[in-house]
Amino acid sequence: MAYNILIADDSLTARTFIARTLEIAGVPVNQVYQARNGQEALDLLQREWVDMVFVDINMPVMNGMELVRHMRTMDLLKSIPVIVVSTDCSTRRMADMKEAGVQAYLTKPITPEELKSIVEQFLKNA
Amino acid sequence: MALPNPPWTRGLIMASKSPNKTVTVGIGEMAVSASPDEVLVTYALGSCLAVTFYDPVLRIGGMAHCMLPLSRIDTDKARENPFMFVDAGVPALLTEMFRRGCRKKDLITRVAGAARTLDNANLFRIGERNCAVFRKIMWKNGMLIHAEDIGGDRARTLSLVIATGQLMVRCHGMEHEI
Amino acid sequence: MSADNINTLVQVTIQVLERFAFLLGDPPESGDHPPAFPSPSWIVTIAFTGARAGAIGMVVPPSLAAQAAANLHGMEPSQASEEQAVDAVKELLNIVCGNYLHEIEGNKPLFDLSSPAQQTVAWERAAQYVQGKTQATLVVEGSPLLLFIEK
Repeated sequence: MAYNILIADDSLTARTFIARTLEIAGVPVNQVYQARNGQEALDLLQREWVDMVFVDINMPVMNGMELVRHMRTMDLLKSIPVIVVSTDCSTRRMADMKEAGVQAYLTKPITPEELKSIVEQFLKNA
Repeated sequence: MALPNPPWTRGLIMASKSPNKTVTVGIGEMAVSASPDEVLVTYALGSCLAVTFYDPVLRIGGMAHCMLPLSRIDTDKARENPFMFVDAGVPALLTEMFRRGCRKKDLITRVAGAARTLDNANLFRIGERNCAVFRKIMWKNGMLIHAEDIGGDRARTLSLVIATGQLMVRCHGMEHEI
Repeated sequence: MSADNINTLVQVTIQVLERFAFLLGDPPESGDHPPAFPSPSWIVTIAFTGARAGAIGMVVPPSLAAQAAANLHGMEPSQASEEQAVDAVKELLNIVCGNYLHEIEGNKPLFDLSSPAQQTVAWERAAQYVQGKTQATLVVEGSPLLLFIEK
């Protein structure tokens, strides 16, 4: 089985890092979608089937928290695993995001090995 | 047909065929072995970085014990012995693995060392820098690190069992597998 | 306090450069003159609000930005586009800022970070811009990198 994965981050560098890690790690990927903000991500999620979402918090137009809250109100999207990859290290933000329904929270800088480990953990349970 | 030896084989220890042989990899050296009766061992691993690759298909293992991150601080020494430096030694070790028929996708990459032992204040961050340069080489080559035992402030001894691919780390009297 | 903060910013930046961009940075040493900045150079800034407000920034030679982008994308510096180089230093500063705030304020306060901004300016303009600000110049793989705290 191959997975569709969405990466929502306003940084091209951050999106490329995640996409390249998935490729190097040999994660069976059908399609990697990229979005530059929460709104682009939400629009895409309503068009395409996605198995996992990586999301940054600080993004223009719609931030990561708003995206996750929108997703959790929509039947088709509410059970998709969401992994936050952010520079925000505050425990309150982490608690807020967990409460909004994210499955994991990684703080930048992360290594490709850390990312691979978390992806495998969630795809195994998917 | 015998493959030609590359010009940097001065640092290469040619593995012998004696049973249960320990092949010692000194500081600034490397060894590659396909002999199932051999164990590659490196001692006194402080802020240096020991890099190991193991191919479980061909049962070939390689180990390098690199001292410093960048070869540009002494290009003459790097030409003479690339394994002193992470940026020269790791590509040379990989080249040797590939020369022996290993494929990148089969290699298990493990790394140990990079302790803070050279200076108490860790002013030079040699261990961290060795790791950064190693990670850069892995990332550029599209390879991930499968296991690591790095940092801390104690010296390590590392043993790679060619028959099984087991990599043992001995640190402060305790041994564990990574 | 500013001196403590710039020292923290230096340490955090060196660690982020190593872990994120695989670049080795050296802290400023007294008596040493860092290499000169090329002209033009880039000024990159990021602002934060929340438990307290402020901004930090960097002056970066474009060649160093290209090196960072190349490392991150797994390519040679000559292959990195300007868009990739600009984005790489913006993301670098974003990560530095998050980790800097974590170091100086702990992990309890909440901060909101702006999107990093980048401008290409003549070196003299960059020098004028950072004049009077708390600052430190690192040497990163032979290139200068100036860090500053806006307020």
